[in-house]
Amino acid sequence: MQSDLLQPFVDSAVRVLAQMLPGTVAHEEPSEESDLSVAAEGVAALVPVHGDAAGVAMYCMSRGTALAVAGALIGKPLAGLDRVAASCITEVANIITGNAMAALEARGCGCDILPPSLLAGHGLQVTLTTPTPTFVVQTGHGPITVNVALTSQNGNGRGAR
Amino acid sequence: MATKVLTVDDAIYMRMMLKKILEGEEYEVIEAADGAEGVQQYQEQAPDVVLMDITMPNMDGIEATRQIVGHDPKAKVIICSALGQQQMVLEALKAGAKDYIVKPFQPERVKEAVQKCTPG
Repeated sequence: MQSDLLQPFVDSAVRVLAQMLPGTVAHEEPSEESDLSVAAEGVAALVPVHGDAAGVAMYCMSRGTALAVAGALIGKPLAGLDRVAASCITEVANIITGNAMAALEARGCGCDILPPSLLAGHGLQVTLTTPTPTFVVQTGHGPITVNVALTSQNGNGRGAR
Repeated sequence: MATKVLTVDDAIYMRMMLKKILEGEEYEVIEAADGAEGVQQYQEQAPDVVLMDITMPNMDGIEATRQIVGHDPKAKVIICSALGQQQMVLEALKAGAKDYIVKPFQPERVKEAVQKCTPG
C-alpha cells in the first residue's frame, strides 16, 4: 500500500485521539505490510472505505482498553461492552477514518466511508483481502492498533451520492 | 417555549453527547437514528434546528437534508460529521445545510452554531 494512503490515517488517529482522549501519547512507526490475518485482541471496529481507494480501516484493542476508552468518553466507568460502549468505539473509529478522508481528498484521492461495525470476542482473528500496514497509538487507556487495508482503485472515481 | 433541536446520528454515543450539550443550554432535544427517521421526525415534530450526521444507514444525511429542506425551505440544518472533505461540504450546502461542523468538535462550536440558527 502506498505511504500516501497510510499517512492520513496516522495523522488523523493521533490528532483525533489526542483531542477525544487526553493522555494519548504517540504512535509507533507503521510496520511493514502484514499478513492477511490479523489478531484483533478482543475488540475490532471496522470502517469500510470506497472511492479512489477502497477497503477497510480496522481499529483493534483489548476489551479492557475498549471499556476504558468508552468510559472516558461517557464520563463514567462501564461494566460491560453494551450498546453505548460499542457506540463509543465505533464512533471513534468513524471520526478517525472520516478525518483521514479529507486528507486523502487533498492528495487527490476522493473517498467516502460507510457506517462502521464492531466485532468483539476472545481470540478474534480477522482475515482481510489485502496485506495491511499496521501502526499503534498509545492512549492513556491502552494501545489501539490500526490496520489500514486500502488499495488504490486507479482513479475509477467515487461512488455517487 | 424552549427551542427544539432534532439530533440525527446513528451513534448512540454522539446523540447522548449532543443531548448533554444542548440540554445544558435548555434546548429541548429530540432524536433520530438515521436519515429516514430524521425526515419523519422533522415532519412530525417541526424542530427549530436539526443537527445532522452524514454517514448513516437507511438514508445518509445529505439526502435527508435535501428532503427536509425540500419539505420546508426555511429549515435550519447543521451538518455534524466526521467527514470534512471540501466536496462533502459543498454537497451539504447545496442540499440546503446552513452550517457544517466537523467531528471531533468542541461543545462551544455546537452551541454557537445552534444559537446562530435559533429564532429570536
